[in-house]
Amino acid sequence: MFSLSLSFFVILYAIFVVLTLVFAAINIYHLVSTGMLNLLSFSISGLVALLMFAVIATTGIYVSALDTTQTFTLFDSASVPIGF
Amino acid sequence: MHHLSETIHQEANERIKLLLRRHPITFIPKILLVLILLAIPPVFGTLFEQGLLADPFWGPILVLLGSGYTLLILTFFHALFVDYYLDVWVVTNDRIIDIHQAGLFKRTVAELDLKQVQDVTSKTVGIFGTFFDFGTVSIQTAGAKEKFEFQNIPKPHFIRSKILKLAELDAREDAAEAKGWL
Repeated sequence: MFSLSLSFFVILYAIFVVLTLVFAAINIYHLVSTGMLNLLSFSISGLVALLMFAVIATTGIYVSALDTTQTFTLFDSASVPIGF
Repeated sequence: MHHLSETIHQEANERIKLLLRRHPITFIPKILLVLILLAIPPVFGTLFEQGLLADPFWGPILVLLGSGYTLLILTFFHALFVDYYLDVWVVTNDRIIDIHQAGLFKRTVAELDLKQVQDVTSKTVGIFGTFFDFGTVSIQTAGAKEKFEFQNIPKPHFIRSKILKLAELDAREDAAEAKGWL
């Protein structure tokens, strides 16, 4: 029997969030290191960071209300006919 | 904090005369694309509210996927903006510096002494280029990089005359300096 837990997907999501935050940090680093961080670039970066924070926070609140222990059975060997 | 003068290693007697970027209107199609891409999860959510999204297992997975997708598009937009904003052409009273950001991990910096400027041409193409006054300035050089191109910059014809004037001034200064040596 092969089953997937919802917590597995939550962990995958968390890894993805960390990766996007790393990329956001690299983008901001580029702006700072080239001396291009001014009002416009700061505002755009701030807006993007704010939207990302809103998405992550909303998803976090949604996930915290879920039962992450529930599983989904993808393949159940017991249901396969013997002669198969 | 880092300053542009450090990036271009500005000399003591060197003054930045022009700092050029592509016209902001050239970034609008990218903003529209990002807005369309950002609209997909809410539209999808509205359409499938009673279907897959109501499922106790697949519903949360789809929400996580939608959230991840939105984060990806936001990161993509930020990278597009950084790519646009870091592509600059700096014209000083002594040289032209072409800073080209290609993606997140590649930056090319090329420079040209104003003395090497041979010919400067400017052109505006299309309805948008004519109405919003943006276009391309090409600089023919005697250097290793034969051609410098400022793409989609505002006021290309004015920039062409400004560069020619700066090149002339630089040549005159150099001639005066040479005279002083003799």
